[in-house]
Amino acid sequence: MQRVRLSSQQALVHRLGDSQITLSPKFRVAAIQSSLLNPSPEFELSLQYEPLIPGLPDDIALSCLLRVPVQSHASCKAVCKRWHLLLGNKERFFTRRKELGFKDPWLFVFAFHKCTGKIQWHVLDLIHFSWHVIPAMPCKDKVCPHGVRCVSVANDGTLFVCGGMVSDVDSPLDLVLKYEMQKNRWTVMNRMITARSFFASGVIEGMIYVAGGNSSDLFELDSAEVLDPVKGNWRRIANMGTNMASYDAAVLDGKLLVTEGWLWPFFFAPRGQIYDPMTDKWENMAFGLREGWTGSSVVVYGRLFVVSDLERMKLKVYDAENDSWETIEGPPLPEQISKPFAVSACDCKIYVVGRNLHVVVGHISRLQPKGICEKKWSFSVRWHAVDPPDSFCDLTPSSSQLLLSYSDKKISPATAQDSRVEFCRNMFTSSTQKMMRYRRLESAWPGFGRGHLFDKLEEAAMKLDDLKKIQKLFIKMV
Amino acid sequence: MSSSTDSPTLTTETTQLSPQPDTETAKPTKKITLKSSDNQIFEVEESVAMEFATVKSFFEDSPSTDTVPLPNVTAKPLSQVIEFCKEQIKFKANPDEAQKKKYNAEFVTEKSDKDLVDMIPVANYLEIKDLLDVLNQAVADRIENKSVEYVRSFFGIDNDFTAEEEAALRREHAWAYEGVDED
Repeated sequence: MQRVRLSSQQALVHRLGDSQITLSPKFRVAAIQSSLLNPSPEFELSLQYEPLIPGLPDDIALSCLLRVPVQSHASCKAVCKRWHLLLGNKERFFTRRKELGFKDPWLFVFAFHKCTGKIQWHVLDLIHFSWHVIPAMPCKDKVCPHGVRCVSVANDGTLFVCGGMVSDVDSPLDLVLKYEMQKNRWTVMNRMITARSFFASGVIEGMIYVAGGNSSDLFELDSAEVLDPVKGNWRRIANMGTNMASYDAAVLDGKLLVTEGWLWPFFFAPRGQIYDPMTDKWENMAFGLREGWTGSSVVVYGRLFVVSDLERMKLKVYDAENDSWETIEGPPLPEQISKPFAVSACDCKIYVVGRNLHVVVGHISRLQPKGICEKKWSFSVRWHAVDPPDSFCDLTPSSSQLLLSYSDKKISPATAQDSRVEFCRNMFTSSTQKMMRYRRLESAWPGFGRGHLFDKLEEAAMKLDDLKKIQKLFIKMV
Repeated sequence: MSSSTDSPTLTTETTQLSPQPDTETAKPTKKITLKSSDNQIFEVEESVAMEFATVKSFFEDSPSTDTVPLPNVTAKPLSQVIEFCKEQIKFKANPDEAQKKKYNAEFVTEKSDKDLVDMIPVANYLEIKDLLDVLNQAVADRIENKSVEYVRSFFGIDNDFTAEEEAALRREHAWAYEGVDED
């Protein structure tokens, strides 16, 4: 139905001379296409020897231009042909950005209100240290904030929320949700084969592994399964060989490490299992590793670090050779952080989010071994704190995930979302200036296109039941 | 970008450099002479010169030399680059991310467009990654939301569009020519 309306207006819109329409493929009119918009390989080749910026090597020039925010592309691509080639196509631009390793880390914090238990995601831009929000998760049941497991594929900018349990009822869930940063959208994925909560989870080579956890009966689970996020289906893998819930898990050297953690009354050392996806086999964890795993783990420099649950303890690192743990040089976790906290890492920084969403960043440096005979690296940590807004004083984190964004950092999922809402609010009273902003946004944010506008218009039309008025409004707008 | 300061190689440098302030007073540090293409002589401390990967490797190859000729570098940008590196060394010995960010921001804002663009090839030639990152970002920030003419004159780029193509572009992105910042 939508299409029909579009085509009926195409001629009209064209007559008004708004060539903006070329931006959206839905509206592409053959007459406006030129060699500039669809460069032929020969055309590209002929420009190959022109410098992007005179006097600078192309790699350096690229490194400058790839930092130009998307809002400015429209004017920058009119500078010269080579710039047009680089900036004219968003896909090409972001591919080049990715190639050159421009990435902005974002910290996604799964938090809940300490009184109401309401779950909310808060997102911290780790470049500017500003907080943002994302849409709420699409779940019907009131999910308990505990027992849910989140995993992320940082490079793809995707995040998965699996399992958990329904609030007030001790029944586990098999629900799986995916969040994509590029689209700023949640998708409901195929359910897990077994419903579980408080289980182990981890990503190995882009595949999502889950194991053990609490089941719907009195016993803990022995089973484990894997999700291929591309195909979207769950598949059983070998059983763990023991029924256990997971206190913490980590992926180290392509293997999933699961520990049940110390259990009251601490008579026995915790159990631990290690899964190797290459052989599809589980093996028992070394004694020192499971005994010393007393907190939340992260992997940095290919080594397992643990932020201890015991207050004011120093960071420690596992030494596989001696099956022992070593304390890291540097001060203990800053006082701002109180339990419960969530830990994640990117490159050589670890991020700890505590109660009230206090965040501290730990820079881990690797010190070169002193003697030649002594081959071991030693580590040291420096902490610095990020103060949260006051409005976070009732929030408790339950998990934190780190995602990388290769797109423009000036347009964050949250700000675009905010502008989108604001835009819709102002849609009927849009002044020229607002319209300009919208157009800039439209070119900057692919999801924020005319398709979306039409959805909104349609929604408004359904409500108002006055299609003609809406159509008139639309014509006025473009 | 910011992670570059934490890469393992740089961190090892930190450990070598950190004792520098203590020894400074005890014994005079070794000076290294840099010679720009316009025959200006710069005498810098060894720690500063070692920030330049190009100079560093030069010394590794021939440790006995005391003057390093820099045929691709003129005096003005070189002096600015040296100024930047001196500050960076202080931050390495005494890490303070906020202070460093502030300094880096001030360093580029006070420079003219020409100085900025002139410094990039120098930073590139001397392989000072931190500075290159700062400069590239600064350039991107400066051309953000500017008119096409401004950007062309900023970099000295010739307009290679035909009159028709340009007119088509202007029509297509009429709004891109409005509401830009003052040049």
